[in-house]
Amino acid sequence: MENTKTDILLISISKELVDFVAGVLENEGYCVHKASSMRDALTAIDLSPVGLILCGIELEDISGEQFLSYLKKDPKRESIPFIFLLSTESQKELSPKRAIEIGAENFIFFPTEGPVVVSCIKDFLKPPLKAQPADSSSINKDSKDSQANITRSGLTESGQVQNNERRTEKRERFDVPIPVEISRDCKTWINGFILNRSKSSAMIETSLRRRYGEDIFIREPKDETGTTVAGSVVHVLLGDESKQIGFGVVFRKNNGVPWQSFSEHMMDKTRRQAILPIRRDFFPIAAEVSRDGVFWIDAQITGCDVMSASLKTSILAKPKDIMIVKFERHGIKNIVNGKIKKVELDQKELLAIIELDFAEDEGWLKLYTHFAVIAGPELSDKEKKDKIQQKPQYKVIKAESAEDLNIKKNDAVALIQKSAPRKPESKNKRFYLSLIGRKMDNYEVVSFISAGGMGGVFKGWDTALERDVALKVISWELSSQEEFVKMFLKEARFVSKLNHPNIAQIYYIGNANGIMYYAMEFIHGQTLADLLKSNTHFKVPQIINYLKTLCSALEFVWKNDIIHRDIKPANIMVTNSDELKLVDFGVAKLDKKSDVQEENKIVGSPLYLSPEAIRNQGVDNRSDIYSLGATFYHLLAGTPPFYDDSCSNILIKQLNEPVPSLKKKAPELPDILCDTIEKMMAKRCEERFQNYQEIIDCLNNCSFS
Amino acid sequence: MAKVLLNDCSPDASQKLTNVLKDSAEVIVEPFSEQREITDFNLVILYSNNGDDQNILRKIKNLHFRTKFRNIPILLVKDKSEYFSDQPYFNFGVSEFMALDEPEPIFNQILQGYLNPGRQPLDRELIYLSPFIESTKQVLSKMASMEAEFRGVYFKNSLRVLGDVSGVIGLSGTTEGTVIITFLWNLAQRVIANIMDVKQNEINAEMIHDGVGEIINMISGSAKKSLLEASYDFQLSIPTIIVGWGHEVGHPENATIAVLTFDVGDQAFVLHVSLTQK
Repeated sequence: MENTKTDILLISISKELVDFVAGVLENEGYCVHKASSMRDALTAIDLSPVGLILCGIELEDISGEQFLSYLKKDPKRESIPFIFLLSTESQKELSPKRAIEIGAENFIFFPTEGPVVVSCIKDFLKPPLKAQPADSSSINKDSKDSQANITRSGLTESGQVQNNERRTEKRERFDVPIPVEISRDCKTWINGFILNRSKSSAMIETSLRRRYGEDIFIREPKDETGTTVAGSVVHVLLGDESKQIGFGVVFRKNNGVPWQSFSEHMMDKTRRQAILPIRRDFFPIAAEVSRDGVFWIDAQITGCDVMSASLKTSILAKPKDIMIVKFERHGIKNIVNGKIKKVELDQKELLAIIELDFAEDEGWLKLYTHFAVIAGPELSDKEKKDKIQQKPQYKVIKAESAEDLNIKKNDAVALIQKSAPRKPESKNKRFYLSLIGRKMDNYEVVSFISAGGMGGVFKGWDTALERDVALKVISWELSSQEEFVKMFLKEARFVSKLNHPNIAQIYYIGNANGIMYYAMEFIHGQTLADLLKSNTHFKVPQIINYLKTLCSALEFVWKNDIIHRDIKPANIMVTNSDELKLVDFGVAKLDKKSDVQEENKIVGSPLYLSPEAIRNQGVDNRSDIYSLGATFYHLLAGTPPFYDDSCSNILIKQLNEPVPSLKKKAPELPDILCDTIEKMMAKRCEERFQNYQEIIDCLNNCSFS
Repeated sequence: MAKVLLNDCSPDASQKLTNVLKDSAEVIVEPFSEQREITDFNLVILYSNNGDDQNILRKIKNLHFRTKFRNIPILLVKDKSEYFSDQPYFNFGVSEFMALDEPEPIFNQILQGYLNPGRQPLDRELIYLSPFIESTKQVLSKMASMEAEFRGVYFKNSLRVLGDVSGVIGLSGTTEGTVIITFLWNLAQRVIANIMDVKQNEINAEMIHDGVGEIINMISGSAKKSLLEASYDFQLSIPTIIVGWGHEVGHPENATIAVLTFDVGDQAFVLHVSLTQK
């Protein structure tokens, strides 16, 4: 849908950056609104026809990432294109990849030059009515480095032409993509395909990563004569999962071979190649095949022409059946339907050799070109013989042996990726998998549910009492610590005596051949963490009720001299009948002085951990109050109070940084609720609520309740 | 007490494994033998520390063949962790690959995990497994004039097809899942020869396709009728026939994967059933 709004909203706490970008854009005739905080930005969006947001990584009251996340949850604002303004330093906090993953349309790296900024935003906004041509002479004077030269030749001299050209100049699309090689330095060359072209530009699919304004060179595959076409990147092409799969290029007029003659030559050559007879001498190329589009199996394309292909696979089929072939390259999935002409079974290798006819699927031409390029030039008889002698004959379709794996490693990159060694399962996960389908005492392990830091949770069946149970198997690391085992057994006995409607009851604690576990009430429902992941919208009164219910449950726990120590969204379940259940007392401890020495280890989840728990200074009910506050902060703000990729940085923030204002993150919340949560999360225990009843009393005064 | 077979173990490996297992299992240490009957063991551990991967894979496949699809996990043990190239071992049929240099507690616990007895199907699982058991026996009897004897059911943690010929059918609807029938080559030939009324040496790719496709289609179709009464409602996809060893079929992580084993004379075949209700 075309973006009809014309204004740009520029948000950053860096005045220098704001002044530079605003200067450039205003010079181009755009109407630019400036803001340094989320509040000002939202006001500008509401009052002005903002059609594009340019945002730095840090605002006065929130991070750029959080702001984008907020916008993406708002149906009225989520469609406004969002571009991050990044710098080399800021990459540590927000990488370009992450920026795209969380919903930004693009990013601009600083320092850069004005024309690069302008070219980026032109993809998202109509040109301003009073557009002023860029002052190319001033840029020419100032720019000395190569980056500036690219900009000068690629954008400034022809920049205005490019912009108009994209709308007026006819683009030619190809049925068969044209294979070329791309390089950033004329030294390392990567395969690519020209998808379409105009007189001065082209769209190229490649795995080479380049950014706006950067230099690229194109040559004919394997052409070592030094003949190249030079250009600059003006768009990034994104594929599935926002992966960069190519870019748009504008070619320079006075540098290297003219683009037009190069592209004509390559088109002619590709057309000539496209009528090659069937080539049976392909070294097998990895693809996938399916009968129903659901169940896919590896296949090896061993030869093809413009209408048909031969392949080896494990799927059997009959002549005239349809077989679907999938080939993935540069993140793009190509899927074509072929009609089976012939099937033979190699009984020794247990492989089907299938001939497919693609006359009815035009998509085959594109795949054919891919395969033709990967297969390389047709070999002479002598070359074929040499190749066969050099490398062992390809035998099976899957990497079923180390030797086979090594062969494919050299010759079929796509397959190696698929057949790469399984991601090493964590040791705990492997341990949990060993228990599936087994029996521990009176409990049958039915299926695996999830794994956490303390252990794995399974759905189980109590054969004695004939009821569903949740089985929590303690991780091998913890269960191999004698101190932990002592503490766990002692304190679990106390926890098992807790009988409260909002606490999942522990039925049994066991040790099956050294495997420690406990069986507890099985709850049909989802955890708050699951609900957060699925972006479930909670109403404020509902959240207040949840908080009051949990306070009441934790009050009960505390009065029984127990501290939970791991309050977090994943340990609070919402049943199918909307009741709350507090689960997982795996690391709970007695509030009274234990005769077991406290282990010198942080227990709990960093995102919700109280400062005194991090310092190992001894915890009491107020530590659970802090964790409960952090949990509900997450629920209300949509993000945890402190977040970082590194666990240690989260802990440092929990210790030292003030809790970010909940009111700023969720302005619609009642003040009293925000104040309550923030008081629950006070750094010093003495400044928090001292018991749960105080919280309930406070919430009872909340006008939403 | 569980019975564990240690094959090809070095003295060090043998000592370590025996120490770990001595309280919970009867351990028998032997060199690998292709003829050894292993169906009465609860766990087989193959030790290898030489670089001849082809030989290890051959042994794993042979061990799997001799388990007759029973619930006998095969663990491969080496001296050192070797994650990079462990995928082929799984494709050939090992349940777990372990190294003696791994921390002792995890090594012990994984072993103990596999030594725990297999669980029995729950009543609610039998509701959907029984129709598949019955329909499998009926289809083999009617179509191939062969009597299939149901041997038992066990539950696995992966949907990996370890056989020579398999028919896969997807189920979609309010109940989703996958049903796979897997034969070793010799039994597949016998079954198809009987169904097609041809000699075993006349079997071609089309016959295998049609024969195995028809078997899995009929088993699932017949079970579908019975299951409809038990509120399991699903549509059947086109059967896919695969040949070869070691294919892994995707499934939800929390799905139950039931393995139904059948004997036909002295040969065995297996039916994997993985169903989840939406």
